Amino acid sequence: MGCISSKQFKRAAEHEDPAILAKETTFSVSEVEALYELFKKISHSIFKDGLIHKEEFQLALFRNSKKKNLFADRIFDLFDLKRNGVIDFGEFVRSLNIFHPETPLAEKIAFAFRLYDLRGTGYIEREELYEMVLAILNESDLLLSDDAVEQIVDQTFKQADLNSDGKIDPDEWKAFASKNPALLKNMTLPYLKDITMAFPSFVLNSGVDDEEL
Amino acid sequence: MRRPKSLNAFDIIASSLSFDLSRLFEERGERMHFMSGALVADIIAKLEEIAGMVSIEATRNGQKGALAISSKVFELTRELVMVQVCKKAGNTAEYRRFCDNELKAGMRGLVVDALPPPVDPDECC
Repeated sequence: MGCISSKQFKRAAEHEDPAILAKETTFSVSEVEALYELFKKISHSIFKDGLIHKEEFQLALFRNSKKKNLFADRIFDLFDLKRNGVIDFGEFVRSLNIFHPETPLAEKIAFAFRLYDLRGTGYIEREELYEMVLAILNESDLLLSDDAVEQIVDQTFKQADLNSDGKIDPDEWKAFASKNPALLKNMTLPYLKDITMAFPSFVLNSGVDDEEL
Repeated sequence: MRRPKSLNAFDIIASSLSFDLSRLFEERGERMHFMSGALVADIIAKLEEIAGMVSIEATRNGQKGALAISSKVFELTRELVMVQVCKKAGNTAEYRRFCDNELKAGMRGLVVDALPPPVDPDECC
């Protein structure tokens, strides 16, 4: 049931060895193997190279490889630890680990900060927050006046920007997120806890052959 | 009546359908949002009125038992609230029909913009 023979991983680089990944993350070895099935499906969906390209990521999220989305871009960049434009299995598992229900809150808080720090300045600036809210509103076909968006961003900054310097630094973010844990709900995927149980559906639906990486 | 919970921009981001990695994994749940400038009491009264009309239908025709819907109202600004409607139980097709017909028609006077079609994921309300 979803067991992968060790010979399939024979050629895997050390950083992608399931035993090592299991050791370094909250996932068990069988959970890593289940993730591998998902990874295979995504990474072979367009380019058959065993690596997740941006288009394949977009395809997996939106059923549309061409769909551009601010958050998909940010997530992809953060998952691409080696900054080489693709996500390999090791990066996939290590990044998804942040979203495991049992991963410490501090890691989720830190990841969320980097996610929202769009330009990587080390601060979440007002313009970045404004841009993110706009992006969501555009996606959802909801209409809000510029004034309303300003008000929402203003209110948020009043609560989060404790030293009123116009930007949210990591400490202010930590304090804010700790006081409002609901803010981090997008940083947990409860599904990851049951991935081995739920996995058979991927095995059944996947058209991917057991190709070697 | 208790004041609705205030949402800040990060709440909106965290609840957003745009940002949801669970789409990598699972089947969609059903949830939708719309904005309203109406009073919360009016919105709730309207929702109850619409539900009242539908519940008789549901007990007669529902395949998965009664359609159960939950709704939450969040304050965005002093003038604007966001209403979140999700399916709690029942047949998904029925829920979508409800959203497209009774809900849209009933809420027409109260929403700021057109109701978006029921889309996408997440653990609900």
